[in-house]
Amino acid sequence: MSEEFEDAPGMRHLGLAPWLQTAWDMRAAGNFMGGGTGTGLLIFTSLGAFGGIHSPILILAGLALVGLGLFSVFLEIGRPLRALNVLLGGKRSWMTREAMVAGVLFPLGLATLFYPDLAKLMWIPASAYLYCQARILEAAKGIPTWRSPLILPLTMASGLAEGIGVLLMLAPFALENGAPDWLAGALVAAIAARIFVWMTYRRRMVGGEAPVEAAAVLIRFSMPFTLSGNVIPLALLVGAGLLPEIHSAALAAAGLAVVAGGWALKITIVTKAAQNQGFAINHSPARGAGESGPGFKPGWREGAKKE
Amino acid sequence: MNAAPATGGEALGGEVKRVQSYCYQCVAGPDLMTVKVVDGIATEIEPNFSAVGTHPAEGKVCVKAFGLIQKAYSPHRILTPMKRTNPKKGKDQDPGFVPISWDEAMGIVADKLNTIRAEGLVDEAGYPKVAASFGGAGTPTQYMGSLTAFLSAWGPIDFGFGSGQGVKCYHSEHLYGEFWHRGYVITPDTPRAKYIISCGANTEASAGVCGVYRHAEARANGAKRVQVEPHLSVTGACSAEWLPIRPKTDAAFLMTLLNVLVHESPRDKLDLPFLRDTTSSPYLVGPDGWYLRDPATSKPLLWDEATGKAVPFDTQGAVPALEGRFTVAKAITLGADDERWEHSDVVGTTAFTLFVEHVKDYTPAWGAGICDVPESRIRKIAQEYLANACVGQTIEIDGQTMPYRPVAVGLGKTVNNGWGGAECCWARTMLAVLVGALEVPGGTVGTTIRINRPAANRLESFEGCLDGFMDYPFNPTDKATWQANPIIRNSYKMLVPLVGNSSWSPALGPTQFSYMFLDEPQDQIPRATFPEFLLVYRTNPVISFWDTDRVASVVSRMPFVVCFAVTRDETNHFADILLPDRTDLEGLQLIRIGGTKFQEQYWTQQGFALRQPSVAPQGESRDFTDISTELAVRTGLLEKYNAAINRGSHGVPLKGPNWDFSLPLDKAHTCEDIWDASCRSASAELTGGAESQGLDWWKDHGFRTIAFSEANWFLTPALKAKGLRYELPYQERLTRIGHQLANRLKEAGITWWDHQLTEYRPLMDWHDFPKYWEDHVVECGGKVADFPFWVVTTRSMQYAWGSNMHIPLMREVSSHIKGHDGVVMNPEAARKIGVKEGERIVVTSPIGKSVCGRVVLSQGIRPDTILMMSQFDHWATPVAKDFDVPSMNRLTAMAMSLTDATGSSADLSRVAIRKAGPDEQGRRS
Amino acid sequence: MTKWGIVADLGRCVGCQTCTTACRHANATPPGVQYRKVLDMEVGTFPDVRRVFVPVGCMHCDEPPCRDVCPTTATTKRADGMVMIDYDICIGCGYCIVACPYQARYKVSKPTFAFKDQETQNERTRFDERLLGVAQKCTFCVDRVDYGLANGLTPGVAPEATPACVNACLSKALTFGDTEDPDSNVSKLLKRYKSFRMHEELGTGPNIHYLWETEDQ
Repeated sequence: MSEEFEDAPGMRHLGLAPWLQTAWDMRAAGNFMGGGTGTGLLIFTSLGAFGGIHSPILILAGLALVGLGLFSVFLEIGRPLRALNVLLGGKRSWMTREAMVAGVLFPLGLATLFYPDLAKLMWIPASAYLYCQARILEAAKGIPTWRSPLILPLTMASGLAEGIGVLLMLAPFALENGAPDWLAGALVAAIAARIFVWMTYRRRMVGGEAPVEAAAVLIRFSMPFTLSGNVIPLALLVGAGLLPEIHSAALAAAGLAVVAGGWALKITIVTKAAQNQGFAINHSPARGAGESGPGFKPGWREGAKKE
Repeated sequence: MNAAPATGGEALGGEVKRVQSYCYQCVAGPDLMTVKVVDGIATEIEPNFSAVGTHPAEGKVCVKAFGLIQKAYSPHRILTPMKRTNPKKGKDQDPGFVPISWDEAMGIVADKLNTIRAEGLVDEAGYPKVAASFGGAGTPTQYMGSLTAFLSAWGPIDFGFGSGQGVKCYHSEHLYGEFWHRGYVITPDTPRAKYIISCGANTEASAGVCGVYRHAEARANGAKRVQVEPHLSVTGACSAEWLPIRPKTDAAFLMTLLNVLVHESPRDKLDLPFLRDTTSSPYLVGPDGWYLRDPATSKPLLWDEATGKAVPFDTQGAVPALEGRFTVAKAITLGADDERWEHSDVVGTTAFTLFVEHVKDYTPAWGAGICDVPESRIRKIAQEYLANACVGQTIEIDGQTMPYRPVAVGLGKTVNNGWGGAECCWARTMLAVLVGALEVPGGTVGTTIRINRPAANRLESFEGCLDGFMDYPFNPTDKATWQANPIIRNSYKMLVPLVGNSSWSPALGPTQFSYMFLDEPQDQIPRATFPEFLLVYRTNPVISFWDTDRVASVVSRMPFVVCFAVTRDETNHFADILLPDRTDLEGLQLIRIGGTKFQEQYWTQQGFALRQPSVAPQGESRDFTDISTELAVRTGLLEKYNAAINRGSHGVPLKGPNWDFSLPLDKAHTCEDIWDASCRSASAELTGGAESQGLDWWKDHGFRTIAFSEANWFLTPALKAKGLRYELPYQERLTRIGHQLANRLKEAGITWWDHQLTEYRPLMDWHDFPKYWEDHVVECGGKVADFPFWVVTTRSMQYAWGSNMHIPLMREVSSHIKGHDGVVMNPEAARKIGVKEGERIVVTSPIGKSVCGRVVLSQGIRPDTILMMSQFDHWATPVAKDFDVPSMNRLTAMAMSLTDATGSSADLSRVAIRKAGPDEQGRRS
Repeated sequence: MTKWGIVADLGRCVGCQTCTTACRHANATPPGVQYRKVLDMEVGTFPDVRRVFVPVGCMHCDEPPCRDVCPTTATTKRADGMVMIDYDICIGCGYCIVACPYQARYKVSKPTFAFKDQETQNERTRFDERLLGVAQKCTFCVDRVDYGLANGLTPGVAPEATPACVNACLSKALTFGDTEDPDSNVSKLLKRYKSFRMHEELGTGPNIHYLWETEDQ
């Protein structure tokens, strides 16, 4: 007897149980990768400006990442010639709001090239943009792993961590004195926040807030993500502190791992653990004089079955 | 802002017309519909809303009708006559069809026919040289225009090459049902029925629009239906309860119910007056098993409690004793072949007492063991049936007071054909008889007749016979008139007395023999010969029969095959000529509607409906009526053909008591002229000759009906009006006929039908029917243990009878219903085989045939049974050949040992299952 | 006020998909795009098993998540409750598709035909370029409803004013009507039967009501 039979018979509920959404693919994930990392970078570059750091490279890199994200999602829409219609839905849609914020972010970012002090304002639209991205996912009520309230802190913590990560990678080229010391501390904090939210998020999804198949994706993803995207960067940060000869390289490596972890997280959530709601009934009907019966929620944990 | 939905035609500003028509793709039709036409292109099928008060299901059509537009416009259609260029015929041979003109095609066909006419219509063995195979249950007739008139003009034709009819139908029910109560198809009187036991009857898939509608109404009224079958079909899904019975044990289940009714329930709960006065229950049976009869009149005797003596059954004022044993001073008994015995002081036992004693051992404990279902549930079902029977109650139907017995038993295919089918039919009918629920409102009723005549009115289809029963057109078994040689290849008239000899009988007989006997000659009958000319329309026996490889082999050896073809398919792969007729939405035809028709078409109207073109003729397709007329002209049969039309063999007689629209005999008439005259005659028929609207009127109005009284749905009042009784429970006539047939066969030296003769018994009893199929494993040289599973099948409403596997829309929507994409199997069975959902298995039957398909796991099936839905396995039909879904038809045996006395067998086989290897990914292993 | 809704009687539905095909015809949707379809659910373990047929489609929610996320205002909600898509505004971003917990929305980017690359005459007649690359879903056959209202007909009663799926239903499992009108066909059914709505816990306020048992049971 094969192992698969030990618990469930392995029945598919094709077209009933939640299935992987296909409306948003890597192109949409690209927006969350570019947008999250780019705005994270812009936020910390902006904060650095208060400490006298100024780098057009970092600003341009941040804008480029956000821009690439937007271009990526532009490739996904069905009617690209009407793309500007995206601005019509500001009353309700976080996607419109994201686009509107982009309308502030890019001019402001370009303006900092000429008026460096404006960089101190960059964190505002960048944070707003990052927040909009988090709310975009959260408003997608059809995807249980997205609509979780925890998607907000998770997306934001990861965006910040990724931003610091890129900053650490680019610092040797962009900043005369390399990365400021506080940045490593900020990264530790961001990683800690990200891993804490992740653990909580994962527990809740696996605990019944997500379809079984989505939860399984998250479970499979959890260990590599925790180790490669979070623990290893922390170890590298410790190494950077202990071994000055590898300081810069270790910081950059930590940054790279954090970014890679964040991007993998987004690819996973947007394109792999993105099972939809599926279908469910609260009761089986009475047929004629027969009795009614229990409900059914295929593809969800037994505990989540409707009574 | 433009928020308008996509509506196509109207939004796009096209010219919109709505054309009324009918859908008769399946035997559960006809249903009335409307075709929406935009700028001359058919775009939508809709119900016919103007038929809400006329059609029993409010003018609706089912999912299949919606496929007709794709059927009409399919790029895969055959749009010109085609000629085969490759003389070799085989599955692996490319026929090399090339387009030819109609003139050339009809010339080739007519040459063949004229040669046959010149040389003789039957061959030296006595078999017709022309054979025709038409699809399910008479539906092709609704599309073949006036071809029926041509066939009638031709002379002898072998209609016995079936494509499933006769073997995959409700076969025992057709024959025994029509014998016992003029019910060729038998249904509950839904929705009046309150309690329905359904043994495998797949109503929600097979009973069409009206069946679905009526049973939904019944559920809304609080009816309870118990579905008894090995897998949970769509009908089981719609039932209050499901009882997963072991395959082919339904007869045991039904006999157990009889036991509970007569041995565990108070006698006065039964309908004793019905048993006493409307059945043969009080007839006295002598010790030799024949009815004790009055020596003077030969009439059967019953015991009159008023006078305390035996009197002829029809004695006025007699009070028949239902139960008991009585000594009769003088009586005679009549056996087979005019045997006659005289008796004195003989003990006569009432038929009912014999029945009660007969079912004594069929206890719930016994039944539970046979059927593998809990004893308590069998008992509960019997008790609920009895409790719901409302014995003693009456209801008024159209001013007539009738008994009201809202309990019924339905039987499905496989339950109802092959060995055990007769026993199921008998037990089911007895369940109705015990509570007086046969042919009364709410009860078990017949819909229509096909063996007796007149087909249009079953209440007028009988006179009484000497014994006080409805007479029956048995094929003769007496020495003088028995048909010692088959008149067609399947020997129906010789072997099956019950099948009668109506136009339907050839295709009801043992139709598998038409194929079998060509390669397996039987002793003492002329060797079957291949017909010189085979005509095929709206059917695909190479897919839809049993042992389809064998059918393909036979068809491939037919000397000359003409197929009317919508697309290429597995049967016309072997054709010599393909002819493109106009499809459902292109042709013109007037048909009868209304009255009572199978499956659950119970109308309160009767009249006619027109099928008219809503789609412009595609390619060079021609209307069937024009094709038929040209055939008649080219074969010199025009006058006979026109005469047949005038007689109404195409559906409407053109002459009535005070009207005459007969066509001149010597002229070839156009399709429009023929149907215009038919429309005029139909108008006259419906108005007593007062009106005579022609084709144009009917094109505008679509259908026209007059009232048909609901009282006509029930036979019992008509039976009683003639002073007759149902011959139940005791089967003296059948027993006599069986004895006589045995005598005839013995005289002819025929022994291969001996086992079938055991079905003729006065009281039907349980035999180990599943074992018949297990024995067949051994007969094939296998071991039963190596074939541990049963394979069964079930109908798909989306496909049944529709010849529509090539229509992508049907594939698309049927995929929502479990079982359309693989072999349904219980997870426990899958564990044993070591396969998971979606993996492929190889299923092998005792005849050495295998199919391969994907596993579809389901809790709704017994672990010892697998299910192969519908009839897939196409290899030539466009679209369908890419389905990759197996069919059990390749696995099921055609075998004498599996053929019952009515000439039928069942969709059932023992099978072996194993996981497919990596190199077995095709449909065949 | 009017609020259009559908009542689906699970006790009546037989899963035949006639509604699915009628909808495919009425809306001329391409292969696989089914605004209405019927699910085949199997509940329980042998031998205590049930099969339930569940018609699904756009629920025309009171609080439609699709409307809330739409960045273009292409998706709107009418005063009578119908959730509509303006195909001329929609950019086809797919956001509404992931926002809908009923999997009711589709997007098709290229013309697709029943017989693969072979367009049939009826497909040619009914091809609507506006629907390429944008979101589409059940409209409650708004054109029929509006036609009926404009001509004094009662939607859900007069067939000309009733969604095609409801008209076609063989078992009369589907009923369309105004759930705000206490005397309407649907309100009467909702009084007589117990009903539930799918995924109601998500706060969407769906407007397909599933009947599963009579009230007096």
